[in-house]
Amino acid sequence: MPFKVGIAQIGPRLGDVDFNFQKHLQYIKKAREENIDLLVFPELSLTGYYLQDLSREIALSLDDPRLKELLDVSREISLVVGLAEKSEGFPYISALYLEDGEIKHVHRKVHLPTHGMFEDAKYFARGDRIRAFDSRFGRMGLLICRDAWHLSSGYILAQDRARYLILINASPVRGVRGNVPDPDSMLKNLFTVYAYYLNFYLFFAHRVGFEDGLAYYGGSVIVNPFGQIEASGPYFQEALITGIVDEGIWLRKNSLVPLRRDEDLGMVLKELERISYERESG
Amino acid sequence: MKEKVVDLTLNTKLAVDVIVRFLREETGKFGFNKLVLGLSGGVDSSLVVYLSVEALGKENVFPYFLPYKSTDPQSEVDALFMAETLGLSLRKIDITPMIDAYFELEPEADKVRRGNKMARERMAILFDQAMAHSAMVVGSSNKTELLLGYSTWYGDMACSLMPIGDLYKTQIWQMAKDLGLPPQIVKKVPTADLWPGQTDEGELGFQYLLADQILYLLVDERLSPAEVEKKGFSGDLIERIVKRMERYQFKRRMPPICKLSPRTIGWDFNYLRDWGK
Repeated sequence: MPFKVGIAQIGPRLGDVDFNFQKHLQYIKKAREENIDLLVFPELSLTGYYLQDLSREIALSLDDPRLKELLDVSREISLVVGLAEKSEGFPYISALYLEDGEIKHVHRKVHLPTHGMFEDAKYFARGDRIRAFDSRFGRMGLLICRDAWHLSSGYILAQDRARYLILINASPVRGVRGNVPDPDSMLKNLFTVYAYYLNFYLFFAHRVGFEDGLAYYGGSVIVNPFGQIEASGPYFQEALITGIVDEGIWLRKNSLVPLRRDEDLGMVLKELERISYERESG
Repeated sequence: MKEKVVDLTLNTKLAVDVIVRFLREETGKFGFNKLVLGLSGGVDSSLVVYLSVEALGKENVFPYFLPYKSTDPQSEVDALFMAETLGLSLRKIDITPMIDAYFELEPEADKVRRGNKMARERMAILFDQAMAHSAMVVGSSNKTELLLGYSTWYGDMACSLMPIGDLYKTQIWQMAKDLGLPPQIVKKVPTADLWPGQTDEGELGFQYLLADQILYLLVDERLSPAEVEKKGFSGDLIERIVKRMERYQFKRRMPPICKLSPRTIGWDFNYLRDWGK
């Protein structure tokens, strides 16, 4: 059955969870009016991205009443939201998949950029797994921002039989010399590669707005398994982007270009184990 | 020495789009919708006033021309022309009485002290005018002068927002030209106009065209001075630029706080300015 996916390209307010929660409710309301089945919010959508010391102070636990309210809504519409997730030590940068009143999956950002303008690992704990999960639409994978730059992340999810890859981001502009803000064109290249060669429907939810001098550029997209962009959001402006996702297209692509069938996981594992062994034994 | 090794060309449309949104959002979040700025008639402040009007509309932008008695008369002509082009009225406040009153007490002061005092007098006036208008002060510092420390600490550097602080001088010339700013302003010899005959390139001892390429390679591309020299730039010039960057680092930082407690502002009390905004 085809389903309708929506991307809420919003600009969260830094450290104001209540404000951001209300914004989520507004977008959910709008999405339900448009009969959207799955609505995806960007990275740290409930909290804002550049949290620094705020990360501990405003991190949410998974039984937070505001999440309960979103869980109730998830009986009507499936949701992906981003938040700083409370833990015993440092919080995680997490993405939750909410459906049928349950948290169906929690993905904790594994790759925490900590260089140049980024400080993720200074304030957050690192996730330790990348796993696909079942949803009412089929098998899904969730990644957060830098996770996707590591090609192994997409590979793992493809091997774990995910058909739909949800990627949520907060990427600041760091170049205005090309036709589009940096790093957008490189990311879109990556999406094409993921979608086509790993056979994914890819939903990229990116935020907008400023945090101090950092501009998040938006440009969210829905990419089909042929690598074609089916819907795209504007740069720099809040928007609700929608597209119809057809499982038939995924199936057709998967048989026309049977890369998944022909993948040799055993050989890959064997070679990776060899490399790992050789590295450890110097 | 080569003239142009590195291409610093911007996508003006995209850069302007980001800056305009920056000005709009970073005023609005703090409950402001107005901007105050000094308009000298030079290309930097002319570009900033243009971008400010794009962002907030001409009714919300208040430019000030703040001359001293030695200020080049052409500066006023250009500042006025720029303001009128944008449909703004330019308020002139002569700072001569304030400056002269002080230096009557300090007659031995050299031109640098006098110039710094002028820059800080202008700052004090702009912040007062901002209060009067419920506005923010928008600054005109560019990346070249910030990196070279070629500006007055708490003078022209003092402001609430720096929209062009990540653009090199040559990129500012490009943007100003692309946006159709008056050619006499774009082509003008850059000067702080703090004393007669002063020019940026004369005082710095090198050309912006070269300095910007060297800075770009050192700062943006993270090349070592030796690698920059291999691209065809003078080793001596590279060294002078590196020394200036180091020497004036203090201007780019808040004053250091002596750490005495477990949690100290600037060390381990870390929040963006946009906290809760």
